[in-house]
Amino acid sequence: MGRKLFYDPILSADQSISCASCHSPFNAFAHTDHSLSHGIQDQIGQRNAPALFNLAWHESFMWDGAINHLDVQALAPISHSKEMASSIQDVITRLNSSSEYRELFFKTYHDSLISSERILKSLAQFQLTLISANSRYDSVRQGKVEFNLQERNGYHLFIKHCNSCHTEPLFTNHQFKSNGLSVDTTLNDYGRWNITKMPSDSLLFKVPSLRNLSYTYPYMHDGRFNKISQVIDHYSNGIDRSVNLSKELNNPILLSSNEKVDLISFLLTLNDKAFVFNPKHQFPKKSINFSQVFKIKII
Amino acid sequence: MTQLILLDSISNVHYNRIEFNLGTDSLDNVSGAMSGDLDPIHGMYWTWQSGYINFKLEGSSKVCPSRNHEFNFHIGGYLYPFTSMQRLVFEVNQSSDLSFNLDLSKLISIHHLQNEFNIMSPSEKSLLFLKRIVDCINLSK
Repeated sequence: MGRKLFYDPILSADQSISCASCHSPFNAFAHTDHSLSHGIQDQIGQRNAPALFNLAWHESFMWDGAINHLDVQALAPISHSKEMASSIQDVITRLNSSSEYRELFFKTYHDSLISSERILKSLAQFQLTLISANSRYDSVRQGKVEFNLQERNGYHLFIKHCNSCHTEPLFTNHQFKSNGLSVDTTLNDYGRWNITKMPSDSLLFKVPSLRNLSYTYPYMHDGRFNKISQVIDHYSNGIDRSVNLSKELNNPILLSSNEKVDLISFLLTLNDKAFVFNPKHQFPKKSINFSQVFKIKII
Repeated sequence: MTQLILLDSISNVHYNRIEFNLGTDSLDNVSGAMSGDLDPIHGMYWTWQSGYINFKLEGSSKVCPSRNHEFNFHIGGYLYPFTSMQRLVFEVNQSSDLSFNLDLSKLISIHHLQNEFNIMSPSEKSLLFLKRIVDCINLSK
């Protein structure tokens, strides 16, 4: 039921936007091609929708950690005026008017009460099934295959320069860091500071996982970089040192152009095609009624 | 309008101290989707940032320079330093009924609506407002 809710625009005020509108399975549940994600009536939001996987290991959600539990995360997009512009009360009303959902709630919870707790927990349970652990990197760790020379060089560079924040095997330490991005003055988004109001949290954002990065462009909280090479260039010579910079970035990351290529070849081993194309995570297709198909053929 | 909450299951008891929490504790704030009184459908849960709204007062007043003279006070937050749950302790010597009253007209009058009419996130302002709420709780026999 969580999957059905995730893909159903019934959650939004005009029934046009589903969770999957900004969290597409084919983009590792991120939103590509848009630096900032867009919601109801083509309104543009403030941030790039993050990819969704391995959420069971997260201690907080959203780029600024505004949400403390996966259960209650869905309340944010459901209620936001630029996302689904609805409310959990209205979602309950819409679901209650659907006999299909009443039946589904009965099957799931053994009575047909449609409550916010059940809706939210179903959505969370589906999202918890989104586990990415079948990349080439994972196969190497399992001893099934070996890195090629370029990937191995890239891995050593990764361990030296990136692993302290993008810590393997999840490729994030789930902390808030400033990675030296200057403020976009069209947004003035100060990240974690919005939540804690502490000056030391200004411009800190949650460290995203690097898994599935080919599927999840553009990069950073405001989607300012379209290509992985731009991200590498940012770390090697684009850091703004005036912005509560994370101590891990105090020393410049010096990479030759060959090393950049090697690093990228390692990062590409984090793409998990089996996860991205897993039909269990995709839009729930109605099962085909073969007797009807057969009848049509006879006629 | 008066909202009366009666606790009538504890009559005929002598008591010398009353303690209670004003607001939800931090555990309730980090435990995911809840039902009953803590169900977010009651409008006492923030959606953009996790946490319960412990006190909500909305209305309008001619002194507010805001749109339609509206004021909105949503007081909550469980994270340090803007923790909004208050443990209230009253030393009493009592065997008869006791009433706790929240004097809203006093709250409005000490708050200066013309200067501050929107508080809707955990902050220094919400802590100050919370202190005023506590100052407006009185006991009567």
